[in-house]
Amino acid sequence: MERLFRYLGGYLLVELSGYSPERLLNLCSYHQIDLWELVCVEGKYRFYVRAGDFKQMVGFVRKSKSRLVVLQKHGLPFFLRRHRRRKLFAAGIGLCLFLLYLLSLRIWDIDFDGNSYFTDELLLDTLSEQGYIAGMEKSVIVCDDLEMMLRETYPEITWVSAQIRGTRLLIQIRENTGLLAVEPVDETPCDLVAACDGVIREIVTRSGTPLVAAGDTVEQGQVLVSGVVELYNDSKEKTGEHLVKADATILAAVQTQYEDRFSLEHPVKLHTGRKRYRLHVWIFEQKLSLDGNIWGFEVYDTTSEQGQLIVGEDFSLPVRWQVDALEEYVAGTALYAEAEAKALAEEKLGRFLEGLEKEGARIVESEVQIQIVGGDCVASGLVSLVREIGEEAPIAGR
Amino acid sequence: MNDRIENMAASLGLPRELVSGAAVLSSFGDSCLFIENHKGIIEYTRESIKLQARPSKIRIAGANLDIAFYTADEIKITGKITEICYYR
Repeated sequence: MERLFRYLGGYLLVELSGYSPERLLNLCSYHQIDLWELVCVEGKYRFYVRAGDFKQMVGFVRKSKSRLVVLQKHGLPFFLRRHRRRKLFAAGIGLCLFLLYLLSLRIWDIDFDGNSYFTDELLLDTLSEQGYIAGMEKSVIVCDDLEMMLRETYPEITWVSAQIRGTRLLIQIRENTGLLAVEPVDETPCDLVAACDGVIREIVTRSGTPLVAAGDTVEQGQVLVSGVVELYNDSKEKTGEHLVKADATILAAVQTQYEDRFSLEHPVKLHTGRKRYRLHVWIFEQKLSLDGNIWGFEVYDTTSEQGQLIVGEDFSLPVRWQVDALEEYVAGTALYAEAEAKALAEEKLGRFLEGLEKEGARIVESEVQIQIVGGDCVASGLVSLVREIGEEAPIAGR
Repeated sequence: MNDRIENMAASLGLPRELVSGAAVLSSFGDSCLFIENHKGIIEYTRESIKLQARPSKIRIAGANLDIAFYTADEIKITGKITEICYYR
């Protein structure tokens, strides 16, 4: 702040010499004249002093029998005097400041924070439908209305906070990650049948009539728990039937055949080293594309970087850009080495087993063998696992 | 006389330097020295700075001594300070 005031008032670099320069310095301090960066150079003193104070200092020169020489002039008054004939330059500065002021009256960047389920693009579309777009006047925005609109449009958003900072509209969001609605339970009577062949390990029936027990071998499609519950009287005579939705946890030992085959020859991108850039600039949402020479590039990878012109932290300006780096390549083929191919096959098997575990299965044993056959890498074998095999099906014979 | 004033200031809980006008020196390592309540510069070279102060004069010796700022109350000396000496 002190430096700003010095610049606005103007200051001088002065060289002091003569019979008793210290006396002049003391006179300055006595008259509350501040000096800074005082350096002694070859018996002469150099220091900075405010332009206003310098006029006062001149009166002390004769008293102290010293000599003052102005070496440099700094600050706004001297700058303006130097450029006083440059009217267009001054007009340009004025115009620039005026434009900055005009730009500061509008929103140039809408930023979301805290959203994971709803993407920025979706929320931006929703806002633009309601008239909240980059370039709108700040005075029109009522943050409370915007917050309410978002909450009403997306009931899953439980909390919204909108605030205007500089030329940015910052919207913070909390989403509800829990259950939002209870799905209606389907109570249509049904059986539970085996989804695949296996040996029952455990069966816990909650409703329906169990038709198998632990240790039984079952086939795909076989009814495991019937949705028909027979009713008996005290004399053990059947008096009727009652249809229910069969519900049970049925764990069975199951074997799954794993088969994977891929060629050792695989496509690769051979980068030629030729690189081109393409620049897109948006000024007031008007796109200008400055294409580099990409003729002769048949196929290429594109990497994009985006940016926006921001002054300080919150003064976004309506200038955005995107730089696309285009890297040319030629499609070629390469061969996996044996170890490389086996590692890849193991990785694929790992992903397959992981998928099964995510479905609730427990892997007991994996007898998958990986070998190179001809030009292919073949992984095949049986995977033993324990999993839930009950599957809803319409009641047999009804 | 001075002692009496200082004792009175101490009993009233006032800062002693405020009442007696004695110089207050604060240093930051051997590269920076603040002096408050000085009474003026007697002599200044890159190797030594002599200051008028109360109750005695102060001589600062060192190398490449600069005066970062100089006001009526304060002076800030930068450079390599090797010695601070009080003399009459």
